[in-house]
Amino acid sequence: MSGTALDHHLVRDYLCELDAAMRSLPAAQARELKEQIKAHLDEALPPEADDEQVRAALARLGSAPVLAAEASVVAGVAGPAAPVSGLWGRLARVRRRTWVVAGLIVILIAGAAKYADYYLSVDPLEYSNGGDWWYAQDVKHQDIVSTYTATQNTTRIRSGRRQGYLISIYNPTNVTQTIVGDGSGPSVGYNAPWGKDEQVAVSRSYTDIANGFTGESAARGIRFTLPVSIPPFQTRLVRVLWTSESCLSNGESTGINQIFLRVRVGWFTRTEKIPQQGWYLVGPSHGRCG
Amino acid sequence: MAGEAGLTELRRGVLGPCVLSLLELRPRFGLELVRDLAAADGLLTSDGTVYPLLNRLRDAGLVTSEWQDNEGERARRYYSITEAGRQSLEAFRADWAQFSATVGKVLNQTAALDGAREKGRER
Repeated sequence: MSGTALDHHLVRDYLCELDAAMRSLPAAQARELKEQIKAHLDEALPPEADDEQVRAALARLGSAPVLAAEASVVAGVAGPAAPVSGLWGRLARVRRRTWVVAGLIVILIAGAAKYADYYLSVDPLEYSNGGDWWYAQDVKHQDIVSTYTATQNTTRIRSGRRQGYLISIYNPTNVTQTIVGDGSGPSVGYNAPWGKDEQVAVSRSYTDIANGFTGESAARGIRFTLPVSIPPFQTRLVRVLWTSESCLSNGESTGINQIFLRVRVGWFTRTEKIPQQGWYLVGPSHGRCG
Repeated sequence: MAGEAGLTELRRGVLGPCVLSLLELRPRFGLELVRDLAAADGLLTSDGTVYPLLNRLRDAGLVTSEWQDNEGERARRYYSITEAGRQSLEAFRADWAQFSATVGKVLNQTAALDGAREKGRER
């Protein structure tokens, strides 16, 4: 046997009936009235009340529908009007469950907005100084010009042949950023507009290419693939290859000084424009060119 | 005859001031108030109706409620009359005195007229 009359089956049934009868009342009002009725019964009945005593107490209390109806009539006493109309009145009639659901939706939206804001405002990847042409013959003919603010690496164009370069990319943020492909742009070969069949790939690990790097041969054994995640404050090698197809006359050159990459940060994928050293091809073209 | 429905309306009209009158003497908790009202024969048809009434009085600013956890007693919600409640009660007392006198007068006049007609018929 429990220690309170509220556990009596007749009382429980009555309280269920009361819940059902008060369904049309504002949630706060229904909750308060039920609490008062429970306190009343708890005090009016001894813990070991028998069925007869409980029935008598419930009969004195009045039926649940009568009680609910009474809760909705206006008091016959002068005084300031209760706030039952207008915006507040309508809000007061909204049930608690509705408020809870609405609250959860607001929390979810706010959380999603905060999440999106956080990830979309993360700094982009950075070019880490250094890099080299991928193929040995391009390294052999390279001409590096450095000023205080910029470096330009120029080599001969080999029209109709594969050319490319390798650079280091650093993740300066505390969020993992995943390179999923080359940057989406107005045309294929956004990172090598003078060529075709552009291919961007990233190393799974990092090897220092700043000193003594001699292109393709030095990178042998390093696996390049996509997508590749760059953990916070780590560096990876990015290789850009293409087939050169521009026809350049003697002394004419073309090149870029930024790389476009598709990068996933959290649930979002964005195009990052990363400034880098200049990679230039100079004519005259030899071989096939379009 | 007012009938049961009429009496219910009458009770509803006067129950609020009666509750205020009891609370004017001292704060009371729910069951205590119910028992005191039930002691006034015919005033309360069902105990439960007191609680919606108390809530409306509180919403109207005539009553306040406060949980008290006195030593040796269970925690109870006590209801007290407010200053606005006292003023409302005073106003009702004045109105009620006049109203009941008027109603009494009309009821008695009607009874007197009926009595006079009866006597006339007998003659």
